[in-house]
Amino acid sequence: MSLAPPRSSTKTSVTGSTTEGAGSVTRRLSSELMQLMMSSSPGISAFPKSDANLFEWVGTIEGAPGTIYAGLTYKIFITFPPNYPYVAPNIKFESPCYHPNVDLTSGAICLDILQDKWSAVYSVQTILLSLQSLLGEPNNASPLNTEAAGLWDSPSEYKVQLMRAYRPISDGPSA
Amino acid sequence: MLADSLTQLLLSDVPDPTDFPKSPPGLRELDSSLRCNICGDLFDGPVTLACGHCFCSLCVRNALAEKAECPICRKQASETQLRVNLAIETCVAAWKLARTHILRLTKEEEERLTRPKRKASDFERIVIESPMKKRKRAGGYDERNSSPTPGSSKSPSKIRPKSPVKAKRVVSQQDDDVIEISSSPVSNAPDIPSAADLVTCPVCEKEVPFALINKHIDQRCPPPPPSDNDASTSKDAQQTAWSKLMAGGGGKGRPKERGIDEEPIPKASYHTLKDKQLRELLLDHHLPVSGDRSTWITRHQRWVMLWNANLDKSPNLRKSANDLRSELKKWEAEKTGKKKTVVDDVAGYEKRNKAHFQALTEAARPRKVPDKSPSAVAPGSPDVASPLATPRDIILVDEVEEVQIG
Repeated sequence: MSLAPPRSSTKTSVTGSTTEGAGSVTRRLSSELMQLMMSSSPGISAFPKSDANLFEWVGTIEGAPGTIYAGLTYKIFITFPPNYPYVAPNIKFESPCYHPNVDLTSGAICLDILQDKWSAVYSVQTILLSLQSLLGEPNNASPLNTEAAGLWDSPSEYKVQLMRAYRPISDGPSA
Repeated sequence: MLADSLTQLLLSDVPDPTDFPKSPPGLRELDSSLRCNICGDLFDGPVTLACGHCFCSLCVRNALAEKAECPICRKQASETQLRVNLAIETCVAAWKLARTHILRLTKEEEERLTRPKRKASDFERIVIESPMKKRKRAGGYDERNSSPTPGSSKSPSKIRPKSPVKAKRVVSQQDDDVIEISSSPVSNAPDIPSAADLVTCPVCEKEVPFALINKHIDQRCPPPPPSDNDASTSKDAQQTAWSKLMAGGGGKGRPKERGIDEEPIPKASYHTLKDKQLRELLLDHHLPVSGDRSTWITRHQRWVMLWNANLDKSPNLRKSANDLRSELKKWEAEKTGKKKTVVDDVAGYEKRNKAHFQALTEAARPRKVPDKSPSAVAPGSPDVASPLATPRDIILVDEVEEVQIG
């Protein structure tokens, strides 16, 4: 995360919390942001879209090494509902993603933990990690993109379609 | 406020387990194990489900309202299973007291280790070499030194957990060892301090007079005496420090109005209630009756949740009914209240709202001209038509102006 300020400047104070007055959702989101910046998980990142609104984030996911998505980077949008984390955030791919469980045009994602299997203990980090592993291990039983699901077993053809849809995201941090 | 400035947020302190460094093992884990998996804060009114997982009472009640299962293991769960976890509550209270102190200590230690560590490595050498030489006499050391490692080849992070322990053992057998240390080769310990010199305690890293260091460590590192070396003063200082610490924590339990009727509120089956009864339900708890029927229901539901979660805390940690009422108000404001819309396309926004802006300008003009305040349209202001300074500016617009709470 190039946007993350150095540790010393974010965590200087050892005394009480200054986010005390903020709402519980804001508090939770800021602690998630801190957690993401501190943990430096490889290949995933997320950051609020604008200075003013903590409820909309932009994230990036890199395909895991060793999978057909290795070296590809996708941009995603995350929108948090006001009753987050009791209700799942809304997530969609911003860059076109050719994948059995992703709608190529709308970017909608079919992933159980984002729908009925959501739990309040999940976080942006767990979502991004799940999405990263979903890229390499699609659930072909419930496809949104049936063509991609059909091609999954023939990697060379799949790769052709994958690269045809792929649009590299512009360099630099997305914020 | 929903629209916290991000920079503000990044500069503010969000206490979380990563406040602690990884190297003294267990501290980060301890901090994170005392936090609720839902809100990420230290447990507030911890309760346990039948599966054994622990959450803040309010957090898990919220989660169960969405889905009747444990948020961690998905085992079926309901509010009736909730049991107060007193041990964790006590634990959190103690950790809150100790946290700042321990953070400061770890930070001091970190800083000390990044400084040139001549003293620390000397100490390590003394500690390791002296017992090796006297292996025959002090038989107890044999097992501990079965794999002697030269202090110089160790990384600083490895020195840290080990040296204090060993140093303590050496010192505790002071009758034999003090001689041994001072007789060890000069090259290894060039500066044996004299009795009055300040040395750094290997355990707590405070500066302590050399003559008192053994006593200091034996007493598990009391705070050093403020002015002189008198042992009785040191004890007094220790006591004052402790009472200060305890008083600081005790200060949190501010006096509160304590209701007599501190009983859990049963859930209501709202569909069987008439508007009038629902209204009375709210009035019973001195809650506002503004809004429509569905607002009343959500308000009452939230109130029941807040009230019952509050009762899961120990009486001295509970909030007053009035505090809960203002919390309810805040929650409603957050839920229905002001939503800020970010205007990215400033030019377009200006164009679309031009008529509105002009009307506002017209309305303001007659009042402003007479009093000639500096905030009135500045003479020579280049673009009156474009009141929104630069196109790069982000504009926040309040979508909902009114918050309907009494």
